[in-house]
Amino acid sequence: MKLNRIWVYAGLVLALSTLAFAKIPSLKFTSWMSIKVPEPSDIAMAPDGESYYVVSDDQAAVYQLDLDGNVIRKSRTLGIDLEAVCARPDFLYAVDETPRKVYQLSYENLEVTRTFNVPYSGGRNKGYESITYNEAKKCFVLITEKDPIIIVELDHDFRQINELYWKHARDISSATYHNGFIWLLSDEDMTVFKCDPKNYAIIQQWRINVHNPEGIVFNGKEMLIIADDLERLYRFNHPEVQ
Amino acid sequence: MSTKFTLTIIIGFVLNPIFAQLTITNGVHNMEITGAISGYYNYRLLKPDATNQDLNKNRFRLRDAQIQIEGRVGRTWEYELQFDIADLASGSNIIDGENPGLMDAYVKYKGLKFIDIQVGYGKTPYSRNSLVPFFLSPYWQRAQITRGDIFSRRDIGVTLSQSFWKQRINVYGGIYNGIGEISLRGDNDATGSVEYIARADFAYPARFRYQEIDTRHVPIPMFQVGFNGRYTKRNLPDGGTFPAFSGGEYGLRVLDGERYIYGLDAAFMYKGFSGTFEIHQFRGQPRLATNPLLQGLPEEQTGRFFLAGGWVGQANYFFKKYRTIVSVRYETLDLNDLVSGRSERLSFAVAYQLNGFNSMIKFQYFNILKEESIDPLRWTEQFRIGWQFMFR
Repeated sequence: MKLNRIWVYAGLVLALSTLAFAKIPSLKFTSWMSIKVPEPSDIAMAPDGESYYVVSDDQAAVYQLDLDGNVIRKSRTLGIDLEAVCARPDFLYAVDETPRKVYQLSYENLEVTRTFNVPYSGGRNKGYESITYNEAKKCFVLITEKDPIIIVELDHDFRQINELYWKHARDISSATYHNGFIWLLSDEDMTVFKCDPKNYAIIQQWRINVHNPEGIVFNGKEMLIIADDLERLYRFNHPEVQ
Repeated sequence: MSTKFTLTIIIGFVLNPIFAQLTITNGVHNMEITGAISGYYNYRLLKPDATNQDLNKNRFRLRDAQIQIEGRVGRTWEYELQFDIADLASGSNIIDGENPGLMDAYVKYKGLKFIDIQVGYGKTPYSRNSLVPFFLSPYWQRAQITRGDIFSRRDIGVTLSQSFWKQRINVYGGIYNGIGEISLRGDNDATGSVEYIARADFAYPARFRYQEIDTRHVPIPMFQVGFNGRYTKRNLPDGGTFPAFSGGEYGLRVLDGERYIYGLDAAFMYKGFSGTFEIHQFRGQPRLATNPLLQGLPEEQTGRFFLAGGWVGQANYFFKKYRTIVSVRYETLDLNDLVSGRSERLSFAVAYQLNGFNSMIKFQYFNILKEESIDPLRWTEQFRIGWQFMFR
């Protein structure tokens, strides 16, 4: 009798595991281009939609690229370890992971106009790896890379409003706001997540066949993924119009 | 009731990831404190006819109780201090080359564009397998040839390094005391000599970190090849001796004479599959024809030198869905070519990741396929099962 019950439990666990690991659709890139940015770690679209801003981990600098991936200009060395970038209409924001700082930069000369401290006592290389602006909640969002993944909502002066633990991936390497949704990118799981901006619940997800994906951005009907080790920019058709 | 309660606590502790890393920063100086604990149960099958039936190795063992402090000052300076309290507390005079009490104590200067300079005590740039952190392996023990009994894995000295071509090419060179972990006792040996070590590795199509398991299931085939060598000449003055225990288990880690070691390694990974291969050749030229490593053979026969070496190959697969690593490893070792025969070992490992490498249950099985007459063992098979847990 007891043995039968164990078998039933085991069967239930197996069935639930199968459901949990249900197949996730894959996206294939349509093309890629090499970019002359050493160790690119995130990408954002300029407010006018005419160029990209990319941060370099190796150089701790911000690069402006045209839509074909050519470098237009580069900032001076800004910090230690730039990992994320977010382009707002008035300023550009870059995250320095190791010293836990966010730099507000002027578009005119890519100089720092203001520095915000965003304390986090977790792993040195597992700090804030993603930044975006959540239009639905009118707040900035910083996300720690892993162990654990924490989504932190902050006001316009980078004061914390809210935080939540997100347990659906092994890491998060980039975030962007697009078409009314928060899009998250996982490097280790090579997965793109489309999330509800109100509570970050996953609405849809796709696998991507890109090694070391570190940044995500949308450009009209295209999704672009930046890869760190290979220093490439991959183009995909928009996941929602496959 | 109490059993259920205890079980709940244990299961909760195992399944809930604990993120205990701590980073302190003043905006310029950043210091991270992490650590690790690991332990296993070891069971050996002894030869029935072995004269020594001592079962002291059938035991629970605390392998690691490590604290690691890593720091970075701006973009220029880095430092690391790592120690293992389990080894420091053991009170043993023998320093385990695979798992010493002090693991790292060095400072690195990265302010020069053309080269990085590291000064202090740490891993020497020799052998890929030795450079892969233990906690990234599904095994409880490294291969015989790379675990510190043939050549030292750590020493005090200066290492210069540089990377090229998007970190696909890495080059290292250094000068060290040459007596390995025994350097920590303060003095060099009576020769006052040093050891030179160099390594270069090349990866394609992207940089390849020192790891052996493809937990990401990389979508493009990646490989790396490395070449390394080390040289020392240590002619002891009459009456001089090497420091106690500096020779290691086989008396090869220091040699009264001249020694060359060179090796080649290769690694690949693709969609969860990964493999590594490593080969080393040791050439020893003792100063005296009477050196026991020449096995008492006439000089006409030995040419007053001997060779040692071997190779190790490992194949792995990571089942992403089940968070499980399976691995098989074959290794062969010839401790001295003047004595016929070589040893062979086969090992299997299975590791289940509760929280990545940070919390992992590891099982390893060893089988001695063949042993060398100058290194008889009293066991034939061995099992180790345990848990590694990292606060990071």
